[in-house]
Amino acid sequence: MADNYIDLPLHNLPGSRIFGFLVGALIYAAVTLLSIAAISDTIVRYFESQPALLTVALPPALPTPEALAQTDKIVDLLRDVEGVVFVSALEPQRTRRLIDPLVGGSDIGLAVPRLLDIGFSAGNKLELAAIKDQLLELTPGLALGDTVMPGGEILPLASSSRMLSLIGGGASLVLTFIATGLAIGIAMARHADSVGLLRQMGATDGYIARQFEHYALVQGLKGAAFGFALGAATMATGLLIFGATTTQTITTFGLQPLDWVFLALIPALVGLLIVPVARLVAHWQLRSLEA
Amino acid sequence: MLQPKSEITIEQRSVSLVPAGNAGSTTIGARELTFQDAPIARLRDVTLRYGLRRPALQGVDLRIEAGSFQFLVGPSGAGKTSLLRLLSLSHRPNQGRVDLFGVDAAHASASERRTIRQRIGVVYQGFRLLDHISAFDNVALPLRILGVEEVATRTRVAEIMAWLGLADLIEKFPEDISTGERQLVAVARAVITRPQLILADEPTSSVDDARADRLMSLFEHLNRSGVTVVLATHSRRLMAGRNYPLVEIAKGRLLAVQPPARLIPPLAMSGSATRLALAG
Repeated sequence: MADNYIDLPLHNLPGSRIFGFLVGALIYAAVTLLSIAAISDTIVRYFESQPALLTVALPPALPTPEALAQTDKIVDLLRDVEGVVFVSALEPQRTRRLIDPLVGGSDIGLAVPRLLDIGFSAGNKLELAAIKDQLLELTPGLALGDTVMPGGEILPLASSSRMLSLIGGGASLVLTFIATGLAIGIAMARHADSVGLLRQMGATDGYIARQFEHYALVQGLKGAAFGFALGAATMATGLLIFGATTTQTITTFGLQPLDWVFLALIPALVGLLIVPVARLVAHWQLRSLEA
Repeated sequence: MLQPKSEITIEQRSVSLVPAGNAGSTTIGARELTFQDAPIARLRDVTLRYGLRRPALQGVDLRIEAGSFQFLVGPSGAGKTSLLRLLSLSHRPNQGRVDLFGVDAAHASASERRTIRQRIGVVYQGFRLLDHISAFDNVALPLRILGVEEVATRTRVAEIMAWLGLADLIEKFPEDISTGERQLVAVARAVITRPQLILADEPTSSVDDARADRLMSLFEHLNRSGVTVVLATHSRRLMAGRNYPLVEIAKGRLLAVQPPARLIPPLAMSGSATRLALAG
């Protein structure tokens, strides 16, 4: 067979370009959604790498050597707890500055609470009740504050966004291949007479299928390249605008070079898989036609 | 079993289709066709029906010898096109048996059907040209399907188109040329592979007398070199003065085959194959 020769230039027919535009739209959706997934993932990873904060308040005491020794003992005990990243005792002067507005700024020699900041990895669940019991044995009257998770409300939002956009991007890619199958099926139905003629001349199913594979590849690659370019431009513009209009250092959470590489692989992936999909559908359809 | 097409195409590719002595022509060597002893086509008690309508063909018995030239005649709707469809493997009979090149077409494998089809050139009544490719590419189509090299394809297509007076239409698309020219393109496409059997359905219906004569001379030339030709026509002018068998058909039934094909006895035997050639 004369390889690579196309007798049915299907892409020249009116209406045939719709398939290319459809692929372009789906790839655009895939690129933007997967970009959002990548950004969300960066945000999630960033905050998950940051420690959660817990404040422990020891009963108020004047800075006597005994009180300081007691504080050191508790600090040492907390540092030994698994998952704890750091423990730091706030300077009494700083604590005083925090409570001064509450007591009217009068330095009357009041004992101030001894505050400890405990940092632990966000992914590590501390057994707070057990820790509290242990600490209470050493220092009755000790209180644990609320746990402050890194990123606040952003973390669950980013986590959901990552999952949803990943599903959406993957679905767009799957839809691209489903659309390819449908387009080949429709093209073969529209060109049934031409297919019959080629068969009448003794063409093999492989030869006929190749015409449709070529059509799918040309239109698919054009659409995928267009969709990628538009998606990449959208994301780049969006990141620039967001970076310019917010105080947040958006570049920290923007697309990394490796993300761009992966996104650029999408059109290549489409080109790689669209041919076997088209071949499969064409052969399946040809088998259903009487030889 | 059929011989693979590749065994006969080697010789075919070196032979020009265009009769000697014409513009752009090259010499035509005597083409030896080796067939099995069976006729090229044999129909036994064949019935063909489209859906629930009355049979387009009924109880047809026909034997087409290799190397013969037959006119298929009859009024419109008689069943000529249906008969050609059976002979070109476009349809399967509802009843009876069609043997082509010694193979029962109904039970032939996909590969055998493909090989048979590669040996048949069909001129369709409606031409069936692909509208979105040029006249040149339409003619080249069968060669490209057979895998003939592109250089040889271009040479052969240019040659046949020039001979048929289509040299100026090479770049044109079917919708940009006249009906008669489209018919010539369809004929060129049917004969370009130098098939063993040519089935032509009213191949001169849309061309003037001069071109009709030229087409007939092409068919006759191919026939003299061993190609079997079945030509459906209404044209008495075309049949006049030509002593070829008439296969007459009416209302789906074969009325007569007359006069019989005049075949000379085999010239030589080669294994089980017989060489056939037309007298005169």
